[in-house]
Amino acid sequence: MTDGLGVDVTMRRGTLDLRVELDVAAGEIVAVVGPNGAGKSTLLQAVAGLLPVAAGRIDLAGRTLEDTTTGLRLAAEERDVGVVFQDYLLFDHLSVRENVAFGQRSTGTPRRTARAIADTWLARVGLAEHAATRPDRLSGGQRQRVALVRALAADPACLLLDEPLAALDVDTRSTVRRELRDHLADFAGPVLVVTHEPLEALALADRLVVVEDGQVTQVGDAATVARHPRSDWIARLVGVNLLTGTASGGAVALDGGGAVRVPDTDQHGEVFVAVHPRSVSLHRDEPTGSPRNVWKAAIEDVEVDQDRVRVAVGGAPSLVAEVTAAALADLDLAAGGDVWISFKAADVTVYPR
Amino acid sequence: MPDTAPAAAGITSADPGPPRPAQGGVASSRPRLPSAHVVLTCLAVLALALFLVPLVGLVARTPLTRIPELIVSPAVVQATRLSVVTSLAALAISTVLGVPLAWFFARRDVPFANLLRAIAVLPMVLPPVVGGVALLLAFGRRGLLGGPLEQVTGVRLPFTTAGAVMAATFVAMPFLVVTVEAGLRQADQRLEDAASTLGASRWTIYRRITLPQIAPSLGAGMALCWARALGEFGATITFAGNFPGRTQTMPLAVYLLLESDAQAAYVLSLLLLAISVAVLVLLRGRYLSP
Amino acid sequence: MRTRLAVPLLLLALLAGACSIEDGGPPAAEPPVAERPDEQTPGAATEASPGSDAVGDGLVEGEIVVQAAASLTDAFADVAEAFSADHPDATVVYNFAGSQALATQIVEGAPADVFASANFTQMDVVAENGLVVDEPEVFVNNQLAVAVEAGNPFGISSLADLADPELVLVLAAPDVPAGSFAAEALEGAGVEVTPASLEVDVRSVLSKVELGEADAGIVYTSDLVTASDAVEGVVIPEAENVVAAYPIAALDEGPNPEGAAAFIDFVLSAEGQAILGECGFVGV
Repeated sequence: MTDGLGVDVTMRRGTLDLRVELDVAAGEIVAVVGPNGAGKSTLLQAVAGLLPVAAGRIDLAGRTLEDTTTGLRLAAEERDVGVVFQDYLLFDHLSVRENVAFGQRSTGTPRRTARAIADTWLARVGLAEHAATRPDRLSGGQRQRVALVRALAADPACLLLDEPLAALDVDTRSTVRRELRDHLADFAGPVLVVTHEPLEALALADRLVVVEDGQVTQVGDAATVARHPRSDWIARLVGVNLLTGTASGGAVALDGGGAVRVPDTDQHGEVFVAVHPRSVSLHRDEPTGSPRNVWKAAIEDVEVDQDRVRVAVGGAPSLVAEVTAAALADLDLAAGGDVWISFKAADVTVYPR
Repeated sequence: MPDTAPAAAGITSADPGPPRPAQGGVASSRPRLPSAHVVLTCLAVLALALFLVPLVGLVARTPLTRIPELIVSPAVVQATRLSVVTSLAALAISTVLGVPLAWFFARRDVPFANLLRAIAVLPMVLPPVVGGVALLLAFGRRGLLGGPLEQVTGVRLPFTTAGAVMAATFVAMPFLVVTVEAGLRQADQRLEDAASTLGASRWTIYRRITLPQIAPSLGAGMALCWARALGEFGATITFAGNFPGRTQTMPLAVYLLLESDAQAAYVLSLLLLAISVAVLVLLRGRYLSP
Repeated sequence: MRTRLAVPLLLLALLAGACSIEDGGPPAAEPPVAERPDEQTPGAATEASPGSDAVGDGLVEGEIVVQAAASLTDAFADVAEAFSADHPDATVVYNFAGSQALATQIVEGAPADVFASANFTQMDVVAENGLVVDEPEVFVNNQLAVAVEAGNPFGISSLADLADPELVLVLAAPDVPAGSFAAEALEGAGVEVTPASLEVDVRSVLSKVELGEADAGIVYTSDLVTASDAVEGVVIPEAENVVAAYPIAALDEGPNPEGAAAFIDFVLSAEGQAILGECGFVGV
């Protein structure tokens, strides 16, 4: 991929050993997602040239940015990598226009031309009338847009975004996310977004790279990752019950004890078992009927979220069921009590580990 | 125990009893506070008086009617002109050399950083006369560098205006260095990172990002540095000597005029005082507000 | 080598071993310029046996506070030592400073018994305020000499030699006594000089020569007695020299008038004069 971004690096930050290999094609948006402290921002800074890598190489648009075997290491200002930082890092002593023109002016564009380019970008994100103000006068969403066009106006070969929505309040976040998605779609080069919010990642990115504890645990498009999570962390965040076990025919013996019936596939060996909480039913009495996974379990926690209720049950395995508020009233459920749970084998997804 | 002090403050607590329950403790300790406040206030007023009275004395003894005549007297004019020239020169040198030194301390991983910093700020605590002697031993005619310097370039520092500038720079630059270093440490270095990802060279970053960030510190450092250079006496008199128009700066002139024309000395002192006050006003955000 | 002053001064110093001038080396080093500064030097009073006739009438006791010009620092220390030998119960306490500062202190009410000034200007300030007991009396004279680098590389032998433009000359500022005397002497000799610096006091002139920053400076002969080996003195011929007269007086409001009188008597005695002579002053 000559126009894309290729990263294959190992780094050490404190106690964290980071080992990441990923490729982003031109025009593609890849989200690096993972829990806090997983090494996402470290990776981003390495690509930007703000941190050296211990070993490996970084290529961008047919150019090698860093290669530890040859000792090549381009400085940040030589990389053509645009960065939108988590807290934007706008230059509050400069006007919004000068912020956006900064990249052009730094690379030798005459002042007047640079300002014209900046004004074009500002108009594109609806900030034309704020060109002369200081960035610290703007709202969070506006600052985010300034940060974005400041990076874009420098005409970078690739764009990196570090938790682009984290600094925003919940109300503006969804609006800005939508706008951001549109602007990123217009960008011709590779885009790498770092976030700890899978929802954000799913909304923004074509492809997800899940990084946990310095390691890539899963790579895939948004739908696949959501449907077939390969780690507890991502499963919990996309809201599925993720179990591990060994498959043989129509059943999987779970690693934590117990077994579940699964669709009769030809899966054998170590597998993931995903069960969506909405597929899990709760009953007061032992349910009867067709091939089902049924057992009695103790209720550990009941969490009400508007008209949905998430009920966590213990035992082997522990699961989360999602029922309606009405069902909850019928069942008269409370933590500490026992309940029968059931889900159809057809509602279980099995995929290899 | 508890109720001995209050009488002095004139507030006697109602309960004379020795038991001191938790709430009673508050009640019986309350009368103590005023007396502590009185003592502290007295001491504070005393401290203020120490600063204020000499100023009043100086203003009171200055022959105000003679100011117009004295302030244009050749001795005062000459000393003032020289002081302005030398202090501004010292400020310029201190800025050109001191800002990089502050950067060096703040941003570079310097071995023996604390030791080097201690050396650089030593003139702030060193008696200026000692500084002058040290300068003589280094840059004097017999000095470590002074001799070779004179042989090679023909430049002689002692007894010259250049020497006075050097003495002033020696004592004043540390004020700029420490202030700017603090500013550099406070500045958000990630803004520099952001600028570098936008393609800015180091020079561009320092000029357009770092410098504006440390501008308040730099301004304060320059003001302090200049004020110190202007008031410099000990190192100048020791290293550069005293010659009207060449090395006799305002403080030196004040010292000598006290022997011959005390009133002119008062006027010159008042002028220096006014300049110091002006510097403080310039720095008001830094030192005049808590 | 050491200060090569006129022969009598040198001999005096060596005889008494006073004024902290270290002994060592042959005493009679040939002075490069041998004019004797002053015939009045009390060379006759050298054998200063303690307890001679000077202060025969009764001993004094208690503290005697003396405000003394800074240039007397070394000499008066020796004076106090000898005085105390005569008056074991008396202690001389000095306050050394510039005469101008001393005069101000006395006028402002500093408790002192004796004022020894380096010039009449400051003594007059005190006298005009009615603070002296008797008419101030000159107790010693000081003269000017040229301090030069040891070995006298420029071959200075008179004030006229100081006009050499190659020479780095330092004087005391005209605002201080030593400077005005120097200016007076140079003017009297018709010599025009271009000093590199006008130092704030005479000791600074000497130290600039000692440090090698200046080639020559005009100082008091008394300063040269305690100067380091790096300096030597060139005597200024009598005709060109200026006499700085030091007045002394007992102070009106001093707490120890007997002590003051005894101290002044001692300073004026042969013994006191001898000590001052050892220290480079010229007796009266």
